[in-house]
Formats: sequence, C-alpha cells, structure tokens
Amino acid sequence: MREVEQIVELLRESGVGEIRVRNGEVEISVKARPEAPAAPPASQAVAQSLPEAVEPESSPEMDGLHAVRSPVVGTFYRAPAPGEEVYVEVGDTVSAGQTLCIVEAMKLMNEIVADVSGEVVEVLAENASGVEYDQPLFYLRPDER
Amino acid sequence: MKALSPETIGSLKSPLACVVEVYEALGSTQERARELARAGTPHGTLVVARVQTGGRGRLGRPWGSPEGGLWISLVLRPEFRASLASRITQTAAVGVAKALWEIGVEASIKWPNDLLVGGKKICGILAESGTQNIAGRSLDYAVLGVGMNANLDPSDLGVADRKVTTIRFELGHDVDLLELLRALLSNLDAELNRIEDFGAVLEDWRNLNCTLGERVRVRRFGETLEGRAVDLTREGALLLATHRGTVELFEGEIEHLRQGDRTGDSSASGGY
Repeated sequence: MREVEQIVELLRESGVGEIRVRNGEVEISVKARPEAPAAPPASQAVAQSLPEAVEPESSPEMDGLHAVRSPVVGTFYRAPAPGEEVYVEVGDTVSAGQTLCIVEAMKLMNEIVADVSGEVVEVLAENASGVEYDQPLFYLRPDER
Repeated sequence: MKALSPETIGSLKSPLACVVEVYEALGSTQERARELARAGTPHGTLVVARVQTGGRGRLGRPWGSPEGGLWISLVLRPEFRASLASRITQTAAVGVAKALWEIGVEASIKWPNDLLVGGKKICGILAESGTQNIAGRSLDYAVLGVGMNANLDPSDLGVADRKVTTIRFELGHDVDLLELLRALLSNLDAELNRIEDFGAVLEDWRNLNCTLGERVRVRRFGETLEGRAVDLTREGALLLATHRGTVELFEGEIEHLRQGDRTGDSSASGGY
C-alpha cells in the first residue's frame, strides 16, 4: 500500500491525469479527480525522480479509445468454454452487439458485448482471472463515423 | 399424466410461460432460448425439450438429458441493474429447491446453486445473461436453464463418473412433469420477484443449504483452497475460513470434503 501512497503523491505533484503502474499481473491505476484543484505543472526534477516502472501517461480514453468495463465482480473468460476459440483477438474488428467475453459471477455467465463498433486494441484482463466491478476489460478504437 | 405441450403449459397461466416452445428433441434449450432472447422475445419465454441431444452445463460441460427429465430454459427480462444479476443463480436455486420440496423431494442447495439429495445432484441450474454496456448498465436479458433429473434412473444419465440421483429414485415413483413444471415456474416466479429483497432470499437459502459448516475444497484461478464454509456475505458470496485467513468466494467449483448433505438448520426438516 505504501507504493499506492507514493503514486498518489506523484500524481498530485506531477499534475498528470492518471498514472498506471504495471508489475507482472498487478496493475495499479490512479486517476486525478476532475474537480480537484489544478496541480502545479510537472517539474523536470519530479519527472526525473520517477522510478522506471512508473510511466505517467494520458488516459487511453483521452486518446480516443473506448473502454469496455465489467458490470460485475467475477471471473473473466475470453472463450465460451475451455479449449474453444476466444471470442476476439487484438486487431479484430467488432460490431456493436458482438460478444467480447464472459464474466462469471455466482455461476451466472454474463456475456459482455461491444457497445460500439471498432477495432480491439487491447485485452486488459487475463483469461480465467478475477475482475472487479467497473474494471476495464478491453480497449476498442471506435470506427470513424 | 398430461403431456407437456404449448397448450397444457399455457393452461398453467404462469407469467414465466407467456411464450412456449416445446421440442421432441433439441440440441440445447439454452442455445435456443439465447437465440430467442437476442431476437427480442419477451420476458417469460419458455423452451422445453423432451430430449436434449447436446445439453450443456457450465463452461460447456456435457449434461446427459434423455427422455423422462424436465429440460427447460427460460428467458427473463428483469428490471434491475446488471450489478444485481449475480443474485439470479442463488435466487433460482431457492425456487427450485422449494418446488422439489413441494413434490416431496427433500433437496438441499450446495453453494451457490446445485440441488442435491444425499450428496447427489438431482438438478442443475445454468444462468447466462446479456448486458447492455450503456450508462446505468441495465441487464438486457437472462437465460435460466434448469435440468431436472425426473422420471429417470440415475444410470440413464450416462454420467457414471458423477454422483447423481433422480426424482424417480428418491420417491420410488414417477411424477407428472406438468405438475413438476407448475411447481417450478410458480416458485421461480415468486423468488425472482423478491430478488431486490435479497436478505429474505438468502435466509431461505441458508435454511435449505448443505454447504455452510462443511469443510470444502475450491479450485479457482489455478489454485486450490481448502477451508470451512462459515457464512455468506450480503450478496451471497461464500466466506471460507482457511489457514491464510477468511477468503470471500464469488465463484469457483466447490467440493464438499465430508460426505452427506443436510439442511441448514433443524427447523428446515419440516419444510422450508
């Protein structure tokens, strides 16, 4: 938890919108609240003091990517059954309404569908791992309209 | 005994059987119901098959479903938030257990939703849902599959490696499938209608369960945990006391380490 405190401190000092740290399977994401008072601009000194693993970056949503999030706490499955093909791969084009994955909660197999048409840019959860409520599962790049 | 047909089922006037499809043989009632759900069929669509040629359980596991069983799937369009959807399986388990008690089978619930008699499975429940990933995240539909081993011998099921039993074996006689369906639909409807009052559902679940107090083993996320099932959370997750502390389970395949099942407290023996 000390690391989380350090990240929060960095976020405050640097003024960036979000910091994500990934270490193996653990990913910690800290976002600034929009209503928070404007932080002072990041100084060179602060940027240099960042540990290597910490890469302040703009939110993928700000880069035009669309996050598909888990509506429930549960287990993330990329395929309908073990040994079957995954619903989608990175690079696939999906249409709105197409199934992307299943999140199982209390033996309820919850089909998660794309709510926009576009390209699958990133799969953010490991197959058969636990996911939290509202956790982003996929980043999609919506089609140009 | 009356045969199951759209007419006889329609005469039950159940809100869960507004649209009825009955098949002599079908690959899977669950797949057909899912198709109908995606095509916009209303709440209370019921698919029944006398025989399923490709019955499937959780994670696509084969489920033997020969003639004599009650193999159904229901399309539900509940008007609650998707985050409450995980209550459906336990709520359905309570409804199914009550229906079994009504016809004289003293079934108990293994967390979260398997129906057992004497430690052997008599009925399986499979629930799937589709969520509209929009603001508010309403549940688009849920498909609830119930496979009841009714007028069959355990050996008919073709799952020799699993502990299974049937209504015929437990009661010593066959039952009227239409009457069984009536009991099932009316209890499911009553329980699903009070899903928002989940505390009351879980109280009945506790009185009908055979998991709390037992030593269990669970496999999840590639690891095996062992411990004692001590309690449920308010959302029905299982609290497992292990040597590493208390673990909250939302999923996972649990196995009772001691044989036998019992209802949750002695008052349950006279009913539920």
